[in-house]
Amino acid sequence: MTQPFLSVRNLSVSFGPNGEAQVVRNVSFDLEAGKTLCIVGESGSGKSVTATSLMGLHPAASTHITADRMELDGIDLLSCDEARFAQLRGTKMAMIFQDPMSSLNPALTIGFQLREAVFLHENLSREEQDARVLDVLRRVRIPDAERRMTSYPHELSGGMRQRVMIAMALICRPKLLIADEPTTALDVTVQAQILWLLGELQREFGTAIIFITHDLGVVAEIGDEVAVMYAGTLVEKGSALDIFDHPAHGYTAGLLSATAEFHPGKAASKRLVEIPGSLPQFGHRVQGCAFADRCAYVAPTCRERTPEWREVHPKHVASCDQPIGPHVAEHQEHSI
Amino acid sequence: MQSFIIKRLLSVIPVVFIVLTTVFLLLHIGPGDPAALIAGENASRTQIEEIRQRLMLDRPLLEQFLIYLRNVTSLNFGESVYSGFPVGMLILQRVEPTALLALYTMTISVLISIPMGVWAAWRAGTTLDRTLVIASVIGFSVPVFVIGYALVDLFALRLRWFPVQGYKPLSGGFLASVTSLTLPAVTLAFLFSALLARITRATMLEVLSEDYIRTARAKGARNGRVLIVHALKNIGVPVVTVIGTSFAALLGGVVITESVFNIPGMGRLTVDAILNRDYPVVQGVLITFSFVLIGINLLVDLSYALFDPRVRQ
Amino acid sequence: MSATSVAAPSLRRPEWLNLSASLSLSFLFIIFVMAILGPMFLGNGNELNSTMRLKPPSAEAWFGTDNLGRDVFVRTVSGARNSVVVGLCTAVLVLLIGGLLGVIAGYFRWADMVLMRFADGLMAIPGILLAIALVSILGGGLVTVIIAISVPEIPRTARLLRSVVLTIRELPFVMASVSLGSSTPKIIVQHILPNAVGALMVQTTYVCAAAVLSEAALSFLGVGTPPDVPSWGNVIASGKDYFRLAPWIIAFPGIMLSILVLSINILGDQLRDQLDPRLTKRRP
Repeated sequence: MTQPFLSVRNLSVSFGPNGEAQVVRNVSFDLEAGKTLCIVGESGSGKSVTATSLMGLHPAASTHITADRMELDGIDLLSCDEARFAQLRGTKMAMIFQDPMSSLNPALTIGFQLREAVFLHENLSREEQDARVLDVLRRVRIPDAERRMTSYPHELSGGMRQRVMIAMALICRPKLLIADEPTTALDVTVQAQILWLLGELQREFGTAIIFITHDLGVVAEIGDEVAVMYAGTLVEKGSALDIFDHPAHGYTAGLLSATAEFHPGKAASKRLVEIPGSLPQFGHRVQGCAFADRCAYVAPTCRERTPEWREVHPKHVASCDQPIGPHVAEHQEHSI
Repeated sequence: MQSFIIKRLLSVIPVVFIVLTTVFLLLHIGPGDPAALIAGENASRTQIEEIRQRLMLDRPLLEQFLIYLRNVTSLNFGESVYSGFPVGMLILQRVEPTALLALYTMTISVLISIPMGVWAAWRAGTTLDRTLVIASVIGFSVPVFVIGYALVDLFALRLRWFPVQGYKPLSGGFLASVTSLTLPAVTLAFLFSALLARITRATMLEVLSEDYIRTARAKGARNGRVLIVHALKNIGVPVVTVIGTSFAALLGGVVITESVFNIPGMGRLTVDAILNRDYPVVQGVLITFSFVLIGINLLVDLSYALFDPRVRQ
Repeated sequence: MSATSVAAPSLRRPEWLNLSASLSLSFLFIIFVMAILGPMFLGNGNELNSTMRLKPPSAEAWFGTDNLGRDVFVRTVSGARNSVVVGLCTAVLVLLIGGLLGVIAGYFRWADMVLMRFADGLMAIPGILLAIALVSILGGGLVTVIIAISVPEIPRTARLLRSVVLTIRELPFVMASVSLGSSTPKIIVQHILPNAVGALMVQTTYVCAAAVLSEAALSFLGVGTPPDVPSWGNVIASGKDYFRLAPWIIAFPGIMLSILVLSINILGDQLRDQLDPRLTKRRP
């Protein structure tokens, strides 16, 4: 059996000089080349930290990263030092972030920042660098690319800046792109364009994408696989279709219920159901299931022991002792 | 960008006007008779009247102001009441040591404090960083004259590396001149470097926590490159600003330092003139100092265009 | 968090265990005690004693004596009073006037242009020189020294308050208050001032430190407090000509001065670290 393109087993991340604050706990997932994995969760669930740990972007002094395995295309990421990471960033894996306004250096031109992404890794002449930059700018559909090379970030709109970020990330054709909520700061129409662009580029370059988001609409658009995170750990994993149709974990069901639906023609849309309570305190160890206090399907045993991973469907797993079966989920829908 | 330059140049005008007005009004806001004030306590009636005539203090205030403005714009600062020499000449005589001292101090300070501030921010939280923070607070807390005397005691009296006081003009040789100014410059540099290092460190800390630094690292840039290419340019504006605003403190310190080290510069000239009630000299020197400050701050503002592309629009 | 003070800075529980803060407070307390009790018990130290001139520190004169035989220790202790009084009075004066002007400039646009030009103009004249000039015009004495030192400090404090007010004014809860029709004085008192208190307090400590330094500088140059009223500045000045023979005249008051200013500055820094720094930064 071939190894998946990206393989992570039991990744745990804690901060602080003694590792007091555990932010990510035993996260495992696989990703195949050219596919999109959406990591879903609310703010504070640890999804961003998971992603930045893959890239080694945390300050080494105060971050403790442990894992059984963290492999990208055969490269062991766990044994990488800063120098090795610097080689991999941009060439094998790249990342784009949430706020394009602050993610670009205001004192440097777009052209320079893009060329830098090239000359950090490849030995090309100035003309060749410029050619690559122009090429990638056109691929991300930036009009008037030649003139934009000498522009500064503040002269571009939010959507254009995010395209530049994508261009910068993909200019060396990395096989993995991590996108940390790249559309959250953009308005909806621009969001749609960016998502479409990412899909196109994925098809062109065969890039695997980890897309971090809290927006289930986005997941529905572009997700192949979905991993749901809560309070620093994974609670459910599966294909997007499976998760949307048959959520097994109480949290996933809650998230889906909390999404507004619009049914043209129907008088009343579904009532927005919220998940009561709030995230547990940072680093606070819970006995039993971390979600038990907020779960609509909680049973007494849930608070006593840590739930096991159960396969509720082929390739669809949930960390739950009382997973919602398909009949339960349907019953839920009709009664609201 | 051009409109930025023009606007900035124009904004100098009201400031200059306020400075000139303030300096003019200084003499007249006192309780007593300006002429008597200048003449001194033991002056006779005739002496007072003579001064009143000479400085045109008998004319209406507005007329005096207009005459004053006309004189200033033609760089005529009048004559010293004390010595009779033209004020302009007195200033020119004393400008050299003061200007050299200021320049020397700024050079030392910038060369030391900016790299140290950057390094401390880069290694935030370490002993080096904490040491720098404490050192800077001490640097701007200990009075200039205390530092001055301490340095004189150690380096001039005991080690005999430098002269205790006095100034050797440039005409007598560059090296001798610089040597005579070294202790005074180092004294002042304590203050100036402390202010500069503090802001450099604080700004650098802010910049290093910005998102674009994270982006640079995510692209594969190594630490050194991130620091020099990405971070440094972004601390330009606040650092240069604090150089401008600290310059006023520097000039204040120059006055004290010239007193400690007996340097015949503009600072001493001012203090002596004020003590002697030599008002035309006081006016001339205050105006000169102010214009220098305004000029420096103007340069600072214009330099923003170098650091911040947003300013160039 | 209440809707009316979403961003209100709160003085977090002071960390009394913080070493530098407690050291500073201790020194300040000692100096304060010196200032109040010193002249009462020890007098002014103006007693001349021609047999004890320029004597180094000894059992009889802990800090030595100066050229007129005066006890440097007594003069230093009573000099504390001047520094403390000038420091506090200047800080209060600058706080009231500068703070008021700053709030006005920050809140009313028409006032902003005018006041800031004046501030720029005043700040263009080096503070010490302006202070010396004012003292010589207004005459000597403690009050004029306080006024002379305050005037150059006012524009800087006004500027700071102005920028703080500008930031607070843009915050959502203030805009909400305005749209509800609250009157301007009410907004200023209820919303702006409480949120500016933090920055004000920090600025006051820095002004206090600057005032102590300025008074010392003025006295050192001979333009501050008259020579029969000892202040650290003029004790040091009296030691100027005897530096090689009797460095203790300069050393002891100098050290006291440094410690006082250092303590005030450290306290100011600690205060600033405790309070919310967001409000003193302007978001573009």
